[in-house]
Amino acid sequence: MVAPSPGNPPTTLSPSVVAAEQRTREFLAQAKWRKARDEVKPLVKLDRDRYLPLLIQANLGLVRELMAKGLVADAQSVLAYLATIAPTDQLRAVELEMAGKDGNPAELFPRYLAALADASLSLPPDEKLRLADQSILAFQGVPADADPACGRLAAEVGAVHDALLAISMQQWDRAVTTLRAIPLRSVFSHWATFLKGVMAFHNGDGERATRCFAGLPADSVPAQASQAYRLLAGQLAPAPNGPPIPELALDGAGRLAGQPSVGRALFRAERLWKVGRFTESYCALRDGVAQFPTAGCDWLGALSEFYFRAARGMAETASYNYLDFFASGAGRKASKNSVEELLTLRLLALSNSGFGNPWELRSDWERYLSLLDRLRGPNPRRASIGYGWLGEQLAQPPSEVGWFGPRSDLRDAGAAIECLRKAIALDPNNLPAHLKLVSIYGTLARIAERNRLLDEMCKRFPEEKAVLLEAARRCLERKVFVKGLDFLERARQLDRIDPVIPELIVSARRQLARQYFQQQRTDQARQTLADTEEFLTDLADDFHRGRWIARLHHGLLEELHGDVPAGEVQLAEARARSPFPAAFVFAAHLTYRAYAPGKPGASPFLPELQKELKNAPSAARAVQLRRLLQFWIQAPEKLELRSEEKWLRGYVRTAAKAPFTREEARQLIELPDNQLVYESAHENALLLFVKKVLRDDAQDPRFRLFDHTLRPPHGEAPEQIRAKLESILAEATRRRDDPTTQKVRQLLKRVDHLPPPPFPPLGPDDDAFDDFVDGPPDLEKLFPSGVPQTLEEVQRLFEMLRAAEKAGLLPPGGPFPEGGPDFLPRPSNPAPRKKLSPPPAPPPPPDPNQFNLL
Amino acid sequence: MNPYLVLGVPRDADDQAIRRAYLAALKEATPETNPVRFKALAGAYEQIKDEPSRHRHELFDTASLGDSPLDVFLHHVQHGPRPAPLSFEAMKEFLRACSKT
Repeated sequence: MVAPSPGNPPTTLSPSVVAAEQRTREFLAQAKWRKARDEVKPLVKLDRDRYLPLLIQANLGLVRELMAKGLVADAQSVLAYLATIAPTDQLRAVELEMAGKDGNPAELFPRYLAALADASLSLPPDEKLRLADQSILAFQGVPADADPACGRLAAEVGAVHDALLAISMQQWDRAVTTLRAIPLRSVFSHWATFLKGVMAFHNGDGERATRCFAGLPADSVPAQASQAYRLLAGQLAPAPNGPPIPELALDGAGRLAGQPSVGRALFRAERLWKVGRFTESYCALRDGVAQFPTAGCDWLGALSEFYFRAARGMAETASYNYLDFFASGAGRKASKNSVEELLTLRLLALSNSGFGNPWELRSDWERYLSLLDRLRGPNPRRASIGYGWLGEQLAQPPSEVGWFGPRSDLRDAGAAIECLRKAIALDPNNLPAHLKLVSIYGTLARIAERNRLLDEMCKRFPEEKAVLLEAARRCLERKVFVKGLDFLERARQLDRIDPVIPELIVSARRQLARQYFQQQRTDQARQTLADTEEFLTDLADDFHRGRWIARLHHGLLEELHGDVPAGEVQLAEARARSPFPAAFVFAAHLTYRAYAPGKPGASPFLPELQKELKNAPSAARAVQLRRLLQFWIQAPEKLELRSEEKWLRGYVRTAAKAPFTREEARQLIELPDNQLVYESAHENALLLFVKKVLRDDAQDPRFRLFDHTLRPPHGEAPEQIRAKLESILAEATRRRDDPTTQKVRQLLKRVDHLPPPPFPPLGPDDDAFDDFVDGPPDLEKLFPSGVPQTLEEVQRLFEMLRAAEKAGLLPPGGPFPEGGPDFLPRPSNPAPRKKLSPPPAPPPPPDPNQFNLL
Repeated sequence: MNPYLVLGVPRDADDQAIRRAYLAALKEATPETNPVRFKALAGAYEQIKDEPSRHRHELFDTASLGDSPLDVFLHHVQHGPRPAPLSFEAMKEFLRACSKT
């Protein structure tokens, strides 16, 4: 019997009854059988014909629900009640289903067939569907005493089974032929459609599979089963805010993927992951799937790897807890299997590589490499790469910010050298390890070892450009120019495009020419300079190879050591080729100082320079002049350049008053500022440029960012800073200003780690000294040998403290006893990464005179 | 995604085997016919094309394999070798499990 369609309820019914009927239908649609039953029961007394079918439908649904939950006794009592109100026909199918729960399929199968074949039994379509599905799932042969109607149905059931068997053996043709025995109007036709869809799936025809599965009756077993195939075919994608994938679909997908137990575990793991319970998600799979984690080259291996890579994408607190979970397991060797131990060690080492305890890093990584050798077989090249990486990490500067900014000492130089030597011993062809070791020797000023290693490298890697360049640089450092030029020429044969090589060649020849001039070998000197002509450029800001720079050098060398008139000719040409007079004079002044070292700041060009610096200053020229200064700051001559930097700062301040373009202002502000002489006035001068640009375009994100970075953040709460940066980010994104977007994102990441301001935030009415709880600091006590009085004295003090920090001589609390005065910046402390057991005693520092490569 | 899985080679495959698998896969996934798969193949090959690359991948690769466990599972099963049909007994068990819901 079919419940009457809602339509328009009779007008004789009261609104409350209509509402109750509406609710009943909603509950039925939502499969809330009890609620539907309770809602409709009183209505049956009012209109039996209208509401009894709904009551029967609700109770039938309840019976099936109870059976699905295994509450057979409860289901039987509901069925007994149904028998009093519902026609026998309607109950036949559910009675058979109930019998099927505990019954013998061999006995029930004929009854299913009989019910289906009985034309007088007007079963509703959904009941027929269920009986048909149960017939298939009984997996029985044709009953011996079947009548023709049942026999025909049994033959169709047999065809479905044969097709299933053929599909399991990938006998596609046989399956297709077998399915032809099922007529289109057969009660089992949806099974034929399902199996055709399965064949299409396994043959890679996703479209056909989708078409077949889409036509299946919604409540049928084939439709439920098809979800797994649709999921694997990508037709049932999980939506971000949509309903989760049904557990049954995952169960089937897991079976198809070869792991019957994984579906349910994966269902649980996914739900836990989505709500941020990451470690529990891992445990759901760890406990639910025997082989997990695994290192196989399959999806289970990928799923295992996923958990050991996921920490990087997590928020900081979640990542910390996640790593702590694995650390506590690895530390107590409580791993489920060796793969888990392996992946855990790798995870911890890679996560802590930047800032963790160096001894723990080494311990974790060496255990990882050792276990890897055990599981995969030893491989010296792999181990060499591993040790090379470890050496590089140990050679990084510590992550903690020192009192004077980023630290320049190494995390563990001795261990780094040991690891790199081991890497080289394992694989003598490991070039990166060699190069890193050279770099470390250089940082530690172990020059003899460095040079010895470089000599070995030149023999082992004669065709490696990096080695030749490194050897060349070291030769130039030692003023062995001829040998250095030989290395450079060999490097140039390997790579004629790298611009660094001609730069070094020009520089080396210039220095060699100077040497020849000093030795009065003027002809050789001039020939050496002439040999650089092929490498010169006509770019105004190429301070290595620019033609005007080359003429300038030649001119000065002639004036100092050679022929003065010839030198004047060269200088005149240099002046003519230079971009503007101040650039020539500034370059001449600096070069003269390098060639004729005397009093800092002095040269015969000084008067002209001071005059030119006042002549029409502009932002564009300021950019050029600052670039020139930057070149000389980085030059090996290491000139004392504080005066020059001070003059250029004055130049910039004056240039701020002249017209300039946005691009010129941007270039000027983005030039690195070496703070040889700290002056807040310089930031103020740059801020003048920023202010003028923002006057024309107040939303310019780049210049708003400049405004933020040039002003000190003291007094601004992190929330204020974040809001400001996010506003800039929004505008930069809108304008597609990618460089600004990237910079702002980096700054936003650091907002949470800003050091506290050295002064407590002051209100407008506060007197500064009132906020010091203990009063102003006692400087006499802090500086018993005399309080610094001048800027130079303070700068000298800072340099002494910086050198002491670099040598590791400062106590952890800083240079002052008892924590020091609270107006000095505190070093930022990194968040603890994991609960650590006390580290083992550090190994004694290696004897620098021992060359133990093993 | 796991490059070995993308190229369908075992973990101990050598340079020649990897290159052969790469070239064979490219025949079915050109930039015009299947740009997504082509890009995945090219990326995978770059990661494991020679021994040092394979070692570096094994030691240091930390690229995320997906957004969630289900995402990883689906991605690797969908892009890996096509699953074989269930055995008859396994199919019976699966279909019966479907009927209980």
